Amino acid sequence: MSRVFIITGSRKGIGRQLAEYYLSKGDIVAGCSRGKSSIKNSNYMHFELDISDEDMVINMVRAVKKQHGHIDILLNNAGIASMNHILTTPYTSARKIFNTNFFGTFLFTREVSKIMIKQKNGRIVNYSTVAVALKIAGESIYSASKAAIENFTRISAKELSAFGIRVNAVAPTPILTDLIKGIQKDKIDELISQQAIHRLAEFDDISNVVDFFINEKSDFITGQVIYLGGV
Amino acid sequence: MNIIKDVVFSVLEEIGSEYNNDELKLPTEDTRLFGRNLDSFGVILMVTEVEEKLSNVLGFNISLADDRAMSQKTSPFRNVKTLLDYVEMIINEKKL
Repeated sequence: MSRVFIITGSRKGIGRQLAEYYLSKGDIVAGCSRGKSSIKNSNYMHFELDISDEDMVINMVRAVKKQHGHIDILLNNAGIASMNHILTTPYTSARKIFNTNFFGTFLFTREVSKIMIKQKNGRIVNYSTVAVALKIAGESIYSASKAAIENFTRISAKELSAFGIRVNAVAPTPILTDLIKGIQKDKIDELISQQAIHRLAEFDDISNVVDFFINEKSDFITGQVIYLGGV
Repeated sequence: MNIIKDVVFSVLEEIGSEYNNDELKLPTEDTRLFGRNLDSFGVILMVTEVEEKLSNVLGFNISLADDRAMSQKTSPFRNVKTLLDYVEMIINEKKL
């Protein structure tokens, strides 16, 4: 039986690459983004939605369950980044970042867990960032939203473990995607210089950690955050 | 609404059979739930089942998430009557 994934933010960047990667392995993927699908594959279904819209998230998760009968893996990939000083950060921007990064993760975790509870099996991978550990000036809101995800990961791992659901998080270093497009090069260089291994992340670095978390042999691994690059 | 009552009672009967709980196997509106016949795990199972079954029957999705869910005194899940009233309120809000 094919594994069924939900991958948020699957239209571009890492989300799209992960969706294509698992589709190439014969898995079924349901993805979502604010825009139209960029993936053409008979095993892929796409939903256009705002991941902080509760009704839309509920409808998507139930539609995937109805279509495929089960949901095995949730990758809470969707996220937005922002660089700004706290004194010049609009409240609307801060809310938008928390809506997408944290509340989107919360809503998908809550709704998909309802399906996984009945299956008594499921794996959830959330996304943090090395910026949480490095505490880079200019990333206060973005880092705070991801720090929230880290604690949410650890606590939801405890609350869901009795139902056979494992929850972990990967914390990538910068990777060349739209997410860091607007960030100054010297800021990225400063961040990379604080890693034990001084380079940008590549797609394989992230998929390797996701593969480890969702592997059936990792059934004793939950509530963990893995930082890339030696942070 | 009878439809709500039918769904809620069938879910409680299922949970009662699964956990061999006689009060849940034969529910009435006075049957106590959270704090007596259901722990927090039981409430979670009941809520997810009721949400799914009602959504299928009604043709639209509902969420029974509530800040008071785990409160012994004010939880809408403390007995069958409060649960039925709460579900009816959620459905009415959804229809507005």
